[in-house]
Amino acid sequence: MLRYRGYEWALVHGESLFEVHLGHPGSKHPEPMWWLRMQFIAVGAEWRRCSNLDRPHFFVEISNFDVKPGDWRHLAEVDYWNKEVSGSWLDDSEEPNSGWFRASFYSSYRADHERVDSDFGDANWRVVRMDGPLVTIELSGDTEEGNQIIGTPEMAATAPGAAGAEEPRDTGGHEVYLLETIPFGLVTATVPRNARDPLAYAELLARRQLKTPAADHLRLRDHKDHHNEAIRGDLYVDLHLFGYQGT
Amino acid sequence: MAWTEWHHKVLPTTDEEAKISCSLQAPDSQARAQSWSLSLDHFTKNPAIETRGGLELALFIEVGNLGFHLEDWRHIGRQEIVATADWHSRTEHIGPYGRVSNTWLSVGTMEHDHGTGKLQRHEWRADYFRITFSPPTGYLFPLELEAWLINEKDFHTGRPLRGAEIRSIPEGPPNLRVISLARFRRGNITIGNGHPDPIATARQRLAQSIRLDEFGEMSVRWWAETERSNKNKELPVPPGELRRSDVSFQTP
Repeated sequence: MLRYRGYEWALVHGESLFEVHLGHPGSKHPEPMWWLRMQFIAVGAEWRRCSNLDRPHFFVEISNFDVKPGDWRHLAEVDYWNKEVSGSWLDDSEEPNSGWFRASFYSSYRADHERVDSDFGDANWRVVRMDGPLVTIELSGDTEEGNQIIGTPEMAATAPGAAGAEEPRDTGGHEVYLLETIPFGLVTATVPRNARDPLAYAELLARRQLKTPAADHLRLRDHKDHHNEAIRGDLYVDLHLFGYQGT
Repeated sequence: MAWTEWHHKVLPTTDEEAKISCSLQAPDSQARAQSWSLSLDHFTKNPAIETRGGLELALFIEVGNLGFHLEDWRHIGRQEIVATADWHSRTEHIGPYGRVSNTWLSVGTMEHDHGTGKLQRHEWRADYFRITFSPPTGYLFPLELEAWLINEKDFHTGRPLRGAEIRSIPEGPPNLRVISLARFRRGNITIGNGHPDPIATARQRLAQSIRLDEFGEMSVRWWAETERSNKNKELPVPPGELRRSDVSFQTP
């Protein structure tokens, strides 16, 4: 359940998940780096003649928050709710880091859409329940501060739900509140280029660092196809867990 | 048998059956556990047309999301859909891969143009339709369908419906009517990790979830093996750690 701008929202499965990047022992960032990504789309009978592209979308991302190392199931202990002091990935604080909180609202995916990006910094959020790979989180925030409207005022005024639209929607203010369940769905492992079997290396790395189960789907990415300087760089293996193959 | 009236003209009756299929998600999926769909093809031929086997008109009717959640597949025969705004609200959901499930009825047509001799293709959509299923004989359900279709280009508004538009119901008679038999024919079930015999697991889950216990052909696709074979990579599956799989099944 998401409350934001007065729309009825549905969580977009697959795109909404906990994600972690793992470095190998020789890489620049050997410590796990955690992400939480959530995507929502407006639903309800009023949208039944609109494709996905014509509907409002809302994105939430929390990056680089701390989770007790050693086991992915330690996600159950994450609690950054109303914590007055928290560390930041920008400083050397010993305090646990609640992550960097960002949100983006798109009135649609079309060229004339309204877009609002908000950077809030510290996030007020916690895990309230964990059932196997499914993690229920609670989050509150406000998009008033630090937001940036991308697009012309005309676009914003005519977007569905805007104050100047034909039938103004009760936007419900700028507050964001959500209580949603998302899976621990993706591990991206950094693998040395000379690994004999990059897929096996990635699975072993994930198992050792986080005790992950066998992946449902694996994808090998080699950035040297796009960047010449990456020819001596690492490979990346995406391990999709608990049912999502990625798009 | 399919009796079809298209734009107020009764088409020749055919032997085509409508097809009902279902898709069941793995227990750890967040998407709806069941998804049911309906499709029917109707071909009209004209001996005077010498090309394409004499095809005069082809209709491809489809409802991708019937909105059912059934404890027994035989309960299809109790279902009646009236696609009001409330039905659309209840039925719409996000699929396992992040797409909004379409709640409209679609018809694709191919029609012989007697002037040019070419096939004209059109797409139609209806968000107001009625479908009634009746109790089955075997896997065959009597079906009645009515839909108020409009051209696809006029259907997609690109904006939310407003006020009275949301609950509006079209006036006049439907421009598609079908009386036919619909066969529950096939389906697909996703099996989670750790099942050494996905077909046995699929049989068990189908018996539990929709009381289906007779099967025709069944086949397995292992998720990770498919990816690996595409990349010509071989990695033995560690003992005791079996991948997710999809099992396709047919009814007898």
